Amino acid sequence: MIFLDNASTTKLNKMAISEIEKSHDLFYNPSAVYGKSLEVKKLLDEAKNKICNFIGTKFNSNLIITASATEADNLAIFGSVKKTDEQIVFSMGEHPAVFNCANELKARGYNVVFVPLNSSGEVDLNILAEILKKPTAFVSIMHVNNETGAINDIAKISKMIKSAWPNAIFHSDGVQAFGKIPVNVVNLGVDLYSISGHKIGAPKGIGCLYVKNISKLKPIIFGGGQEFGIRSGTENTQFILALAKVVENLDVVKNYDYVSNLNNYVREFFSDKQGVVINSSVNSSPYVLSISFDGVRGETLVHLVEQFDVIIGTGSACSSKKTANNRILQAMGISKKLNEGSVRISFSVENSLDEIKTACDIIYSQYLNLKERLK
Amino acid sequence: MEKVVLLRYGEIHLKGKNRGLFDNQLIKNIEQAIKKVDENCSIKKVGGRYLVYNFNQFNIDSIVESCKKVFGLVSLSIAFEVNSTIEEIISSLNQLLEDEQFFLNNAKSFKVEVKRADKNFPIKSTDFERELGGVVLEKFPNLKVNLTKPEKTIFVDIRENGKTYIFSEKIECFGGMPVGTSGKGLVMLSGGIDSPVAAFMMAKRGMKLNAVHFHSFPYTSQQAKEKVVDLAKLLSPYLGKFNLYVVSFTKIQEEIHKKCKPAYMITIMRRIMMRICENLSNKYGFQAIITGENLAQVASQTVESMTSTESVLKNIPVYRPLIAFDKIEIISLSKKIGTFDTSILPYEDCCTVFLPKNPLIKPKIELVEKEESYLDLESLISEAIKNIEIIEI
Repeated sequence: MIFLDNASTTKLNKMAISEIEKSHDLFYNPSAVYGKSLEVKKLLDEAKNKICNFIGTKFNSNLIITASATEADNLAIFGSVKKTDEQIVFSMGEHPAVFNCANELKARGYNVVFVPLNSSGEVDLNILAEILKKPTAFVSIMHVNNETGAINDIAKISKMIKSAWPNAIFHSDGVQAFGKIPVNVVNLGVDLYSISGHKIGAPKGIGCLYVKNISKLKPIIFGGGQEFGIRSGTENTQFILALAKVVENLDVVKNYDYVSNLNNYVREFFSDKQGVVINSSVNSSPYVLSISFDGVRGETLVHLVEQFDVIIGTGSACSSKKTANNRILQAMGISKKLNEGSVRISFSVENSLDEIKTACDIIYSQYLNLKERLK
Repeated sequence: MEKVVLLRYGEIHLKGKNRGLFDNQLIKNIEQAIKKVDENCSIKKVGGRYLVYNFNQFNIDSIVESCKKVFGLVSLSIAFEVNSTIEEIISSLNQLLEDEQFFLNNAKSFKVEVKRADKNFPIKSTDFERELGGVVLEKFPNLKVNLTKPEKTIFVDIRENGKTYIFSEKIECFGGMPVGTSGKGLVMLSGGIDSPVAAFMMAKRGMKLNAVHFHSFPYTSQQAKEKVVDLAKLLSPYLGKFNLYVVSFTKIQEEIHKKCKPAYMITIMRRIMMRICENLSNKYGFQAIITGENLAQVASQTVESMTSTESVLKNIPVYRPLIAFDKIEIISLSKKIGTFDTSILPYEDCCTVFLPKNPLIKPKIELVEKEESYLDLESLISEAIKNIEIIEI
């Protein structure tokens, strides 16, 4: 099985598994008063500290553990946005975890504004500058796009926002950046940054929100007051330790180079193939590659290659009566036909170059086969 | 005092000499439904009703839900069975008023209705009604008696078997005829809103159904098939156990796409589906094909289209129970049955890849036959039938 849908989730890392197994005895509630609980609490603090260091911050109070990145995004947005007439700005490229928060705010009567994407899939900075001329309370722009790998210049965007509106809060969804490209939240200049465990080999069910200034964030769920009162609920000790273990052993730069090599192979393989178009710009994250196959449905191709044990992601999924176009590719200005034929290949360091070579052969031959069947 | 479920049936009491047949089938169907919930429970006939008893009290809601879906039953009640003595009935009523919140359910007015099938019972119905009414009023002095329009009626049913059943609620069931008493049919399940409703309607008239689904992997997803399996499972409390025949339609669609004019795609597809259904019916003894078709809903559901698809059948009728329904009526039924939320999941119809821009609305049979003549129908159909997957629901 060649798994090339790593942007959706990844296989559990062996170190994460052994960390979970090792920590079976650490079932004590870290909030309790007995000695064993205190031990667990110390381990938790150490683990959080490792994650903090990994993203370039020092204090545990800057990191709120959640049960998913979706929860972290919701906490960032609904925990920050106060009643206001000022603009709440989102990019058109956001993942549904943010995009649907934006839609919810809009439905609640907020002044929600979307920044369009350029043809590379990045936020259009000229239009953003125009938008930022009006009073702005909150901005959420993702770091790396999950469909195309397009990287937004978060440091630059942060400066644009802060110089125009120093009190505006800036959130970035960093799910596809965390553990894949170098991330330093201080240098990025963000107020809030969401990350996820299961995209980098840690278990599902763990996300984090980096919070620069905790006093500006209100909880969205209430209870026992864990995580500095921001996110109540008994800590998921085992998974937090597993995530810490994974990041502790990650070599982001080395992995980046390795995956770039895989990505380049696919780009080169398809460069001279008729009917195949690479949608991701060359400046994108090497971990995600959007490709369109002219004249076929992306989803059909996904099903076909699965029969040969190659798993890739759909760019746009079919739904009742009509094909639902991929919103991100549409925002990039990609034609309806190529949008329908899009698939997403996403890599991990677990993939070998041989696997990639095999996968390319299978994907292309199945594309030709499908075109023939549809003639 | 034992909590039991009283089941009332409808139409089958009209069935003169054949009544035994209907009765037996209904009991069998009820048993099948309730044993799934609580294998220890039993069923018996008391007067003109059935009684479910001897179950774990925690299962009562599930038993009620299962029985509501058995066709042939018109209503049911959660009742309390006591010995038919004046003292025991009065003391039990007192206890019920104390213990069972639902019994009066905050009603402001009430009446007591006594039925005395056991004519040896020492008090006349109307006298006993008055006496029991007094018992209620003693406990709840603010309640008003209202004999014409009470908010709640307490029923006291004194049967010939020495037992009395006390209840205050009648829950409506779907009525209809027991499944298995009106022949065997094959319903075409697409995964949309209409076909599960069509299946429900025919089963309600007592037809024993099996189902067929056509899928087009890789043009449709695995999830699309799973969705139909889910719908079939949602239907099984109404239909009983049945088989879902899953036919791969990919090759046939590709052949039509290659050899016939695009506008004929849907007409020819549906004609071939019908032929496969007839073939299955001959093999398994189905007597009718059931579809969720509905006049004028889409291009394939015009009079001409339906005539054209049906004309390929030799010895089997097509029943279309939804033919004259409005979509909104179908949706409302689908919600009542419980299939709506699954039907609208977005997995169906990926095979729109083969859909023509302008499908024929009024296909002419001669022209359709001419287009079809470019296909090797016999081998396509026999290959499809050979590769059928049978899923037991």
